[in-house]
Amino acid sequence: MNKIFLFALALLFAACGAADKDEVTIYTHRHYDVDQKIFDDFEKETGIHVNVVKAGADELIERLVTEGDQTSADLLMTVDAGRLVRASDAGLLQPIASEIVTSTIPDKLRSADNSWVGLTKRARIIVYHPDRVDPANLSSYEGLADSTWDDRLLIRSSGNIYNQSLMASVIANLGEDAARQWATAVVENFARNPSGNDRDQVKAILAGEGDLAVINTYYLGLLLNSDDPQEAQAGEAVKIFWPNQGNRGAHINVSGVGLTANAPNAENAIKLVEYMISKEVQELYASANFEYPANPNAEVSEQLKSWGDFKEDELPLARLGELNDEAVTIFDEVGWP
Amino acid sequence: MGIQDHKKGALVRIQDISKTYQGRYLALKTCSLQIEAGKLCAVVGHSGSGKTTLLRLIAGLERPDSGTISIGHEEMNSETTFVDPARRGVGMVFQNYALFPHLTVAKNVAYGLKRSAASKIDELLELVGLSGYQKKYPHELSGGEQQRVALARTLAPSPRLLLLDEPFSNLDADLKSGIRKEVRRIIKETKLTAMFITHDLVDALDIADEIILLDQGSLEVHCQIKELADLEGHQPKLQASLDRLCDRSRKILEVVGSNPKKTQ
Amino acid sequence: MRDTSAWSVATLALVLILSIPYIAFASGLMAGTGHKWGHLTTYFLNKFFINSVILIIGVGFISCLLGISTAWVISRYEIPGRKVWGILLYLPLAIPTYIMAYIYVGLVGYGGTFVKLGQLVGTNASGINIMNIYGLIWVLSLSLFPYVYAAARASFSKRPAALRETATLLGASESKYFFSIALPMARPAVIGGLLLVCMEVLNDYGAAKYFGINTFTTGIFRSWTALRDLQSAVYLAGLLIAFAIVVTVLIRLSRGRKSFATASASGKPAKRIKLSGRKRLLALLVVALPIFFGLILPVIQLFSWVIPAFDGPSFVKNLWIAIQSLSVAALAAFLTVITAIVLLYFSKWNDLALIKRLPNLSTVGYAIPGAMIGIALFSGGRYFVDFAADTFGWRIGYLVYGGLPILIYAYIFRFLAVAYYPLEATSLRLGNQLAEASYTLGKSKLDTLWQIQIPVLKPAIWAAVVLVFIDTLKELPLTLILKPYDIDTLALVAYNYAEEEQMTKAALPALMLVSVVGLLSFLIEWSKNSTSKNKR
Repeated sequence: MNKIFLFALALLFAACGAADKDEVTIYTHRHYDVDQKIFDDFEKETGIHVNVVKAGADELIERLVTEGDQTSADLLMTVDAGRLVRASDAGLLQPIASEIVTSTIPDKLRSADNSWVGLTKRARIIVYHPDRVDPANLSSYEGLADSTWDDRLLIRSSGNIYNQSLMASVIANLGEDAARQWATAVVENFARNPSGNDRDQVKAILAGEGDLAVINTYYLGLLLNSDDPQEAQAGEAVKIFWPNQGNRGAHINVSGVGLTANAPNAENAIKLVEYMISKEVQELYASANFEYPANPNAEVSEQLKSWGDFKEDELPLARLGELNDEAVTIFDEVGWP
Repeated sequence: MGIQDHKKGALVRIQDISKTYQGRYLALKTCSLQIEAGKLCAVVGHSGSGKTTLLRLIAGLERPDSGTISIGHEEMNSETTFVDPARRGVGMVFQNYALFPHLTVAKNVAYGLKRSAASKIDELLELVGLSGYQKKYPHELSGGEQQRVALARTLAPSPRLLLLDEPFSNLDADLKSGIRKEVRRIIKETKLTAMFITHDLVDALDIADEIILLDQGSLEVHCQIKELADLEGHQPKLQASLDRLCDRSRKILEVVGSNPKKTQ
Repeated sequence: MRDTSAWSVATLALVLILSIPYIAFASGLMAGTGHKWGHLTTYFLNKFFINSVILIIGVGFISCLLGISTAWVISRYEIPGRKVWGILLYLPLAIPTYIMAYIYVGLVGYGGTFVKLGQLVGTNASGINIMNIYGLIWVLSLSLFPYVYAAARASFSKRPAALRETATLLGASESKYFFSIALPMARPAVIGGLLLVCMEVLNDYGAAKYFGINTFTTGIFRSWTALRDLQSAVYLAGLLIAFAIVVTVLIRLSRGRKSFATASASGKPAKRIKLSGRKRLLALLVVALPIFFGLILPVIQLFSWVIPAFDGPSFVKNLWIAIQSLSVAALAAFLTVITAIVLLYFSKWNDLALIKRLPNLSTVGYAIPGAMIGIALFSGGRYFVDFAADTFGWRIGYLVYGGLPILIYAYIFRFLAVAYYPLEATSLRLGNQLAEASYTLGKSKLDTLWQIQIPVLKPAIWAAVVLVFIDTLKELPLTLILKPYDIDTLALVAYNYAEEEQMTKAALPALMLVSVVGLLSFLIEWSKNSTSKNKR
């Protein structure tokens, strides 16, 4: 008993005594293996150790607020622009002073003050079963409200950030009232109560519970390359449709990174950001994680190429964050669980 | 009353002690008594008469509401002081012996010793007739053996005063008389002052030097056993109390087939 | 000054330290509802309420059904492999509810394991959608019924033989004995287990979110994250706690005022009845089915995810995470139990009646959603950090934010009840006399605690350590919020992968979690058997 107690104390003190070393701490909502590989490579190249805290973006933002000027976080990484905007609005971020960043990443994928920068893009697309859906009937997100799709549409719950930002983009483009009408009609078309994740929606198409679904490109890539042959088969069985190609383009969101206002290792942090937007790393995101690179010079992977080129919605991403509240409110009002 | 007057060298002095439980139930009302050094004193009374409370107050396991207790020349508790049970030099043998189940007999006996010496432990175990039991665990012993271990354990730190709570109640009737004598022998051999609780008057009459009778929290009688017969003034009251007690003793004795006449 | 006032002060100080989350939480409640409260009450509050009630009734009922029937068979009948069944029945508890949810979708869902097996034998079923409230009831019941089982089993196996014999002499049939004697006597224990089930149901986040069911806890997260209204989230948590208290009181009231304790306690336990023929088959089915659905199928499903994706490096990585996870859980478990012991005895040694009751206050943490504890600790910790910075110029932020100490503190706060109540019950049962004997032998209170009470309580202490250890290993929301940057836990990694729809990667840490908990349950059972042999 005594020994265990001493061991426990030793562990406690070991954890408290944070030694000074060349390091950078990143709070991230991304839980991908490829990220860890990139951090490891970065350490090999620069000798700077990357501490990673993984949690939900909202928890991380709350943590930054509370920690104030005593935070150990240098970077905040999220899977959507909305959260970065929120962090920026709360004064938690500071501009990333880097020529490399501003010259590499297009304006619309960065905040105006460069306090955050997009790393990768994901598009919200429509997938459908080719035997049951004539792609000629598909046009846009707005088209999903058509009664043709009554009892045929699959989509996950409104708690999901990708749905929230899709709704925000609809509000930005159509206005609040039209967006509400749209959402009401979409809910009418649900094949089932929203549940499960994006992969589950695709599997439900295969099972015949619905005929088309709104999902994220990134998850389709995961599905197609799944270790489970049945999943890969589900991915093969559906066809992909890029919505709104005739007008504003498909809705995209970014996974991005912001520099915290009180970053203790800001210099190292900027080095890491520059590393993450480099061509090689960007291509790694594309090939290993099926995300579209934010760096225009980076090549997309074979898998992404097979889905074809598409037109992106040019809406500034910061707008999505601003409209997030309204989006959630509308979801609740129209009864989109 | 009784023997109070001629006590100069009292070891235990209790003055106007009262104790209530949970603010309601009155266990002892303003009791006063003194016990002379070297005496073996029986405390008798019904259940609920305050016998156990009296012993626990002396041992320091309870705090009185008012009154003082002194042992030797030290005041154990009063308005301002309270001496911990650990520093009173009072040993107590509990009704169910309270042996430490995770320790061997030897370690149980050694527990209260400042410096544990094997010879001392052997000596104590020999005194209680349990030589060779050192390595056994309490659950391997019979009730009588457990009681003797408890006695040896209590004697080990050489207490000034020995308290025994119902030491004979858990024993078979045919063993009882022998063990009673044995306990008296040990107490006398070690020249201890001792108080023991019993609800059986036979125990008291058989081995005690003096007797305390408690009734509903009040001290009714305190006298030497040999004085019992001469207590003219208190005869009716004592008789009534004793009758009640004797009734019960007789019944118990009848059940086990002993001779009830001894108590009369 | 009386010496016991030192204990009063010590108890008070400890309780105060353990009250930081309450203080932060209460000050949050004082601040009133947030700007989205109207929105929440209009669209959600009745849904939260109705869904939570349905879940509690459904899960409570099935858990009791499974838990009591299995406990009865195990403690009453001699069936082949009884000991092994008995241990296996604890193990579904090792599978966190959210993992169980993903597993069942993977089993019976579209393109799931059952569908594949069906295709092998030529059927063309496409699977079923269980992502609804009934599916949630099923999934939660399967991973929570062992709480009832454990409680009921302990109670059934304590019933003395004399009781059963008396009942037989009075002409009671087996079923009559069960319903009119054994079950009513087991009721307090079963209710204790049922309460744990209810708390877990109310606290579940991952499974309900995945299935798209709105409950109080998903509502708290929605209010906090999507609606950006922390204030209303705190208020919802307040409502949840009130709801939990109402449930507790209702269940406790149903116990009535009959005393069941008196008749239990001592006596030789009843001999188990040997069964044969159809009855034996039935008894076997009763224990085998819950194990099949709650453990064997899920583990097979986990393996079916792990095997195709298995590779050396990820195994080593997960092994390292497992080591961290186990160390943190062990540290938390030991410190929680030490806290429980200190609280138990310090409060006992003090003289003030009010302070004697304080420990009960410190053990309500189990009913507070983990996420709320995390938030409350952050805002509570902020006062300390600011105070230290303003007054002394110390920068202690790293201790409070994202350090191991605060995580451990949070675990202690959350799981104190798990350790405290069994220890309190055992110490009450053992009584005070050993301690008193020790005092009269010249030992101080602390010496007595160390030399007598702790050794005597050892089996109960180890049991408490293991219980807290298991709970800590599985804990999710608190760990999510307070996790230090250099530590990962199995539960966390499993959840992160599952949320990112990578079940093949989530399965390995989940499987490790199940193995560790399984091994521990086995050890507890085994040590119980060997100690009881020692005593005879």
